[in-house]
Order: sequence, then structure tokens, then C-alpha cells
Amino acid sequence: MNKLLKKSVFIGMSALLAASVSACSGTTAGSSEKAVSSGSAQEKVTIRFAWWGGQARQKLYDDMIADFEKKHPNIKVEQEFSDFDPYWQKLATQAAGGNAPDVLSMHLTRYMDYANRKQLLPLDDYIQSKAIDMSGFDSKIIDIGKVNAKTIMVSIGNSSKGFFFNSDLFKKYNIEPPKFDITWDEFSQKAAELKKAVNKDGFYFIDDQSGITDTFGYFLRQRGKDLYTNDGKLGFTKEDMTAYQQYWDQLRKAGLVPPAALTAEYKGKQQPESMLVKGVTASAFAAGNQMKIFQMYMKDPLDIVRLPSDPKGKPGEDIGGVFLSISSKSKHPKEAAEFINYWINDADGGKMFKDEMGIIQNKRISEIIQPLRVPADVKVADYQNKITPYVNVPVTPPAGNADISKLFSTASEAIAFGKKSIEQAVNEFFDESAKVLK
Amino acid sequence: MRGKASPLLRHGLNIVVTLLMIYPLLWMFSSSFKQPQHIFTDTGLWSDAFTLDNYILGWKGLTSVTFATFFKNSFVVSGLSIIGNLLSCSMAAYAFARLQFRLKTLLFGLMLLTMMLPHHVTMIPQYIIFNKLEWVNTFLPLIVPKFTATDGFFIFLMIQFIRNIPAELDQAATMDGCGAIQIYWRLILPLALPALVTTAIFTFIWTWNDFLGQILYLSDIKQYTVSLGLRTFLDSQGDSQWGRLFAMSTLSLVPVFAIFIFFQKYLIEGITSGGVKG
Amino acid sequence: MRMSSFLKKDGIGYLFLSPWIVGMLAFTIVPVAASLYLSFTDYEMFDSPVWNGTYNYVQIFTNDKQFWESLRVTLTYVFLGVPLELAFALLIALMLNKGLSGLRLYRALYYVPSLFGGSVAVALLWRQLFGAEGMVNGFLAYFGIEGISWIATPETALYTIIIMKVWQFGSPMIIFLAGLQQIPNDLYEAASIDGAGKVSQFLRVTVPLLTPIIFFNLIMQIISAFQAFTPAYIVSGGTGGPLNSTLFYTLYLYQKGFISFQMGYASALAWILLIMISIFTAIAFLSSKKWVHYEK
Repeated sequence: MNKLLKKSVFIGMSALLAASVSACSGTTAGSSEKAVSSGSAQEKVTIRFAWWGGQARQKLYDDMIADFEKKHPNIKVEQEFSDFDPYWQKLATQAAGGNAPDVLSMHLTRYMDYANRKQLLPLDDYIQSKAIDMSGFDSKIIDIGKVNAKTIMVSIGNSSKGFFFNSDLFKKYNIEPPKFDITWDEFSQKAAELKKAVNKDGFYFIDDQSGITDTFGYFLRQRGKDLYTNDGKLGFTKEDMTAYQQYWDQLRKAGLVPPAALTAEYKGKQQPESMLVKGVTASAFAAGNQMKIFQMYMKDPLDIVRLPSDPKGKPGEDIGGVFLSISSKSKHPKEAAEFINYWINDADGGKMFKDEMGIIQNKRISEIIQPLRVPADVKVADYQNKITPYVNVPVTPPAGNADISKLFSTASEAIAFGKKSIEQAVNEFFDESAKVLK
Repeated sequence: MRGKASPLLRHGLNIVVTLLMIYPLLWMFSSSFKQPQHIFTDTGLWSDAFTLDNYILGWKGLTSVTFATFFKNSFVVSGLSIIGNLLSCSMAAYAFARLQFRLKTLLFGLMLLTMMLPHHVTMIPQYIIFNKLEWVNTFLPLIVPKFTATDGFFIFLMIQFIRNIPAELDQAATMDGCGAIQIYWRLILPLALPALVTTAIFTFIWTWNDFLGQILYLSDIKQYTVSLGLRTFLDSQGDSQWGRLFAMSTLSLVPVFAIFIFFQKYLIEGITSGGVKG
Repeated sequence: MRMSSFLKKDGIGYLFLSPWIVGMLAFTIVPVAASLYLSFTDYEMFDSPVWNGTYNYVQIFTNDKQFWESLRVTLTYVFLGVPLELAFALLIALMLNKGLSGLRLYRALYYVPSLFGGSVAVALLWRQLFGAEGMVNGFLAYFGIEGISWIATPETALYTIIIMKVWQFGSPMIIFLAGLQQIPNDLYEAASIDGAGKVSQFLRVTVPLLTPIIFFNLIMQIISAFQAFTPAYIVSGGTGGPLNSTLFYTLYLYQKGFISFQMGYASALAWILLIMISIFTAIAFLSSKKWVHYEK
């Protein structure tokens, strides 16, 4: 009796184990869609759309989806949303379980993990046939969404970084505000000038960028390099990293950038508690769509110019922002494509959406909504138009980029806290990175 | 511990310590009445620009679904979880503590072992299982496991309490003609009441506050619980609604406190040792 | 013959255990076994796992600085945090158990910190308390001491999280209270009739009868402290910083699994943790024979 029991339990468990492990490759059909073959145009198809955000956005999307469903009566859209961090954990779990939503929101810092592992459907056919009409987009914007020459995501808002500063502060102390094309040297001079004028303890020019791979990327592209090469290795040398760390270390030592502990303390704080809003710093490098949020909490007006550049080098700008993709396992790619097309091309939808995820890149729609933009977004849209000629398409980061970013920020922390010399930290970074990117 | 310290001193000490304990609650409570832009600038506990907006607007929740629905859903999930845990964990605990069967030690060890594995690495296989059962987007993944004694914490807790019940009582009951089932129902459960009460309280609080399990398995906002509803006020990439978050968080604590205070009285009544009743 | 004796002996046991067995088979065993299997593979979430034997384990022990850092952080947290928290919980439980008016209210208030768990409010508050401009430094300023940013300095950040753990002693406290309630009053009466004073009653009645509960709290606190995740996550913004000083083991595991997409490696980390926890738990169980008393 016992042997039989044991044997059948063992068989049952092995079966379940085998099934669950094979499902790890995502080949199962465990979908919760009320799926109907899309052959018949009269039958309803349901697609799932996942995005991150909160309450305010949920109302907006409800309205847009209602409008979409009115115009496409055979498609029903189910939304799934959560805050940014849980979004990625949930998406990874769903995708690993073979149950990813049809339309996914993608971010420039995370898309590569999905693209590199073939979770995103190539959209080129749809773009060619104008099922997803991208005629209103600059070609660079389309290129940003490409991995291995296949387009896997579509921009629904550009939030390229800009250099924001509190313009009132400069006025108050009679200092010339940073000009649009400020250089790195002028930047440190301006910082010293302002700090001297303000003459207050605990006041800094900008927050410490030494650990921020984004800004480092700008710096590298100005030197004609990038964070990574096309074959998945580091795109820079020890000299590059040393030069970058030295620049910020000098600013730290001159009291123009906060000390290590203060920087660490502000990690994870959101806009209303940020250094810029609290007046601890006079400026920030931040994504374009953050401007109106900062502005909500600040009385002083913010202005935006380019990040500091190298007068002898190339422009370092890239595109930020949010994108939409289709899951490579979606059962309704055609309907998902219709949904994406609505999102980027429909005038009614565009008027509701405006620049929710960053300045929208479809020039046609952008013109339509110009009169509806809030002042902060007008500034940012104008800024983005000006930098379009400078924009590069960065190299898609390889697998392991999350580890590299962590090593980079830890290295900069070690320097900032005085635990390691720049040379030591850089050497160790390269040793550890070699292990990750073998 | 007891003895000479004057009640006044003890009260005084208690008050200071409890203030330390509840300061965040006070801060959150006071912030819930402030205008959102003052919450982080105005560090005092009192604000002149007192407002009820956070509560009124916060309650409205998402477009078509208010916190009334969220509270209802949370009650359903937590309530059923309590029943599930009380039944299944006490049964398992009784088996481990009082009954003899082959492989008992092995199975007990297995139970403990499964509690030692971080949930991050079992999340995906579990999701696959629930997906195959087509339970995703329902409450089932959150409730059914509670009826199958998956919370080893409570099993172990009850085992410790049951082992403190003298075995002579069992023997007396057996001589009176009671079988194992009756001993369980009429002797052990009543005498293990503090453990049951503790299980009920903790199950409620932990399921009420559970976020990860709920965000993973619930996608339709009509099924959202309070924990998920609260999180929608947070938009780490955009603008969060702190005032409403704090207002609704404060409200969310009310049932938790109520359950706590209600069940506490069962914790207060001590058990006098006595024989088996009936 | 064997059937009926099985039913008589083991049958009842298995009957009561049946819900647990169902749960094990349906929801627990397979994920646990799967994670063990995955720990021997290279599994990047979306493609099929690729067997690579003990590679992950070797890498962890020979080539992974963050593993050792996270181990150090976690062991510090466990060996400082657990005894402190249990001591507080026991102390307050004993205090609340008898004699003070307004008991119910105090009990509830002492439990409040635990309710906040890993919420956003606690993270905000902790930064407010232990930050450079925080209340703790404001308090120290009265004594002319200039405080640093406790929460953002690598040497001290972990200790602020340990303080948070001790502050949230409500759960073990409630369990101690329940345990104290289970001690029959007549035992105290009998002891005092025997002429035993309060202290003697405490040592001869309370402590021995409470040992099963002390043991329970000890084991459960060890198991959960080793797996602590949320406090570190919210206080450090998910980074485990500054300088990996708050890189709890499961936070590191989470980063490897969900941020770096190396689930196989993360599974190996998980099983190493399991073995560690089980060693400590086994030690506790073995020692329990010496100091834990059951029944009268």
C-alpha cells in the first residue's frame, strides 16, 4: 500500500515538475485571455495592456481606452497596472510563466532585458504596411526602438534628459544663467560662481552624477564612444572612467556637489523631497517629463538647457522615455498593433494623452496638442526640438548591464566615501565587469 | 518586574515608550489632514491648513471603483484566510503534536525546510501552477493555500501551545470514550485558544497588508484590495498623491485595530487548568 | 490486517494532516523542487533552463564579492537583531501581563509599529529620524553633539535597520503574551501558598512554562531574520547601499533574479541560505532538549 502510494505520488510530482519546468520556456498556453480567433471581424477579441503609474493616469487611460473601443468595436482592452517597481517584477513573472500581456510598456532602462531574450515582437511589417503608422516620427526616434535592426518598440513619449536649473536663483545673485550650449569647464565655473554668491552651508550646485551611468553615457558619447559596444563589451577605457570620476571628485572636494552621505540619504526620495525642490541644490540633470512635476512643488521657475558638452567633441544626447511593445507570445498581435497605432496617431487620443509619458514624438500630433500644453511642457518640447539634431541612438546594452550599473555606482560610492582611490576603484570596476561581460 | 515601582513612574515610562512606538502613526494621521504640498515642508504635527479633501477624494479611489470595494475585497480575502488557517493549521498541528504516524519527524522537518526558502525563487513556479489551474486574476491563489496549511508559522505556533496541554487530559478523555477527533474538537482546540486567537490576528493583519501576492494575481481593479488600492496613490515616476495615501492608510488601519482589540479579550482571559468539560 | 492497523495507527494522523499534504503536493513541493533544479542551471527567465551543474555554486563561493558582503550584513542583522528584539518583546510582555490599567490600549499601541511593516510611511519616517537633518541629530544637538547621517553612512546604515526591527517587536510580544496567558493561574497560587515570592514564582513557574514559546519565537525570528527583505529594500531604495552596507542576502538574491535575470544563480543563493538557516535551526532544536520544558 505504501509503496504504491509512494510511487504514484512520485509520478504525479515528476509530471508536475516536468510541466512547470517546460513552462519556464514560455511555450505553454496558460493565457487568461478570452481568446477568439481573429479571423472573424465580428467576434470580439480581448487584449491585455500593461502599464505603470498610479491613480491619475488610470483615469486618463480609462478615457482613452473607452475612445479606442468605440472606434474599434471588435476589440476589448483589459488593463493591468501597478507602480514602476512592482510592474517589472510582475511582468518578469508573467513572462516567465508564459502569460505576458499583449501590449507592454517598455522603458529605456529595462527594454534590453526583454528584447535580448526575444520577448518582444518585431514590428517592422506593421510599420511598413502602416498598420502602425510612424510617418510622423523622426527616423532617429524610430531607430531608438530597434534591436538587431528590428523595431521592437514604439515611442510614446520622449523624456530626454536636460539640465534644469532654478532661474530665479541666478537672477537673485545677478549671475548669468547657464547658456544652452554650456561646456563642462563653463559648468564647473558657473557652479563655483553661484556657490560663492550664495555662500551657504549645505547648498550645492547639483547632485552628484559620478555614479549615474546615464550621465556617464552622455560623457562617453561626446568622446565618440558609448557605455557598450555592439558585441556586448564595455565601450570605454579606464582613462575615460578615471577622467569622469576625477571631474566629479573635484566638484565634491570644492563643495559644489554634495558629500557622499548626503547623496546616499536622498536615494529613493521622490520629487517633493528632492534636493532641487528643497533648495539643497540649484540644478539637476533629469528627464524632461519630470520638469512639470518638480515645478508643481517649487515656486521658483525652472529652465532647461542641454547637459554640459565637450566643445571639441561630439554631442552626447540620447532619447529617453516610454515605449509600447507587443509580446512575442501574444495571440492577437494584429489587434495589439491597432491599439498601438491608435495610441500614437489618433488625434482625440492624443488630445487626452498629451505628454503624459514625455513629449510625444509624432510631429503631427505634437502640433495639434501644442495649444493644450502646460507651460513646463512647452519649454521641454521646445528644448527637445532644439536637441533633435544632436540625438544619438545608443548601443543596446547587453545582458548583464544591470550588474554593470550596480558595479559602477558602488565604485563611485567607494570613491565618494573615501574608501578607495579613484585608481583603485576604476581598476576593480574593470576586473569585476570583465567577469560579468565575459 | 512587579513590585515597588510606583504606578505613576510606570505609567510615565509607558507613555514615553508608547509615544516612540506610535510616532509614525501620529505623523501619518496628521499628514492625512494636510494639503499635499505641505506634507513634506511642514514638519510639525499640526497644520493650519486643515483639510478633509484627502479623505473625500481618496475614498473615491480609481475611476469606477471606490475604496468601499477595496475594503470589501480585503475583508473577503482576509476573512476566508483566517478560516482556512484556523482549520487547516490546527489540524496539522494536532497531528504533529498529538498523533503518531510514520514519517512524522520527516514531514515536520520538511515543513520547516519549506519555510526557509525565500519566496522570490518559488514565485515563478507557483505562478505557473496557478496559471495552469486558471486561477490567475481570481482570489483563489490567495485563499485556497490557506485551507491547505501552507503557513508553517501557524502550524508550528499551535504545536508549541498544544504540547503545553498536559497529556493526562487526553488520556482522561480517551478513557471517557473520546476518539482522536473528539479530543481535537472538544479538548485541544478550546485549550489552545490563545494560539488560535493569535493565528486569527496575525493571519488577518498579514493578508490585509500583503502586497506582492495580490499585485501578482489580481489585475482587474474591481478585485483590488486595500493594499493594492493604496499603492495606486504612489507613482514613483510621476506625481504621487501623498495626502490621499496617508488618509486611506489611516482608514486601512481601523479594521486592523478593531480585529486586534476584539480578539485581544480572548488573549486576556487566562485558562485555569481544569478537567475536561463534558 | 495491515490495512486496518494502518488505519488505526497512521490513518488518523494522516487524516488530520491531509489538508497539509494536499497543500504540499499542490502548491509547495513542486516550486521548491523546481528551484532546486534551477539552481543547477543557467536560467534567464524566458528561455529554457540550461544545465550547468555546480557552476553557480562554485561561482558564488569563489568569485562573488557581494555574496560575502551580503552574508556579513545578514549575519550581523540576525545575531544583533533577533536577541534584542526578543528581549524587548519578552520584557514588555511581562510588564503588560499583569497589573497595569489601560492594558489593552498599551498592548495595541506597542503593536502599532509592526503594522507598518514595510510600508512607505516607515521608510519616509526612518529617513526623517536618522537622516542628517533628522530628529535624532536634533536631539543630539541639545548635548552639543553633531550627528552624521546615520541612515546614509556605510558604517551605521545597517544599525538603523536593526533598530527598526527591534522597534517592530509587536509580533513576538503578542505571542509571548499568549503564552503567558496559557499559564494557569492556580500554578501561581500554589506556588505562593508554598511561600514563593514574586521573583521565585517568575523563575519557577513563568519561565519554565514559557520556554516552548520562547523557543518558538527564537526559531521563527531566526528564520525570518535571515530572509529579511523589505526594510532594506525601502530604506536603501532597492540598492542595498550605501556601499552595499544594507545589502541583505535576499535583497541580493532579488537583484540577481529579477534585475539581472539570473534566476538559476538566484536559486543557488536561495538554497545556500536554506542550508544555513537549517543549520542554525538544527542547533537550536538540539539545544532545546536542555532548556525547553513541555507540559507540567
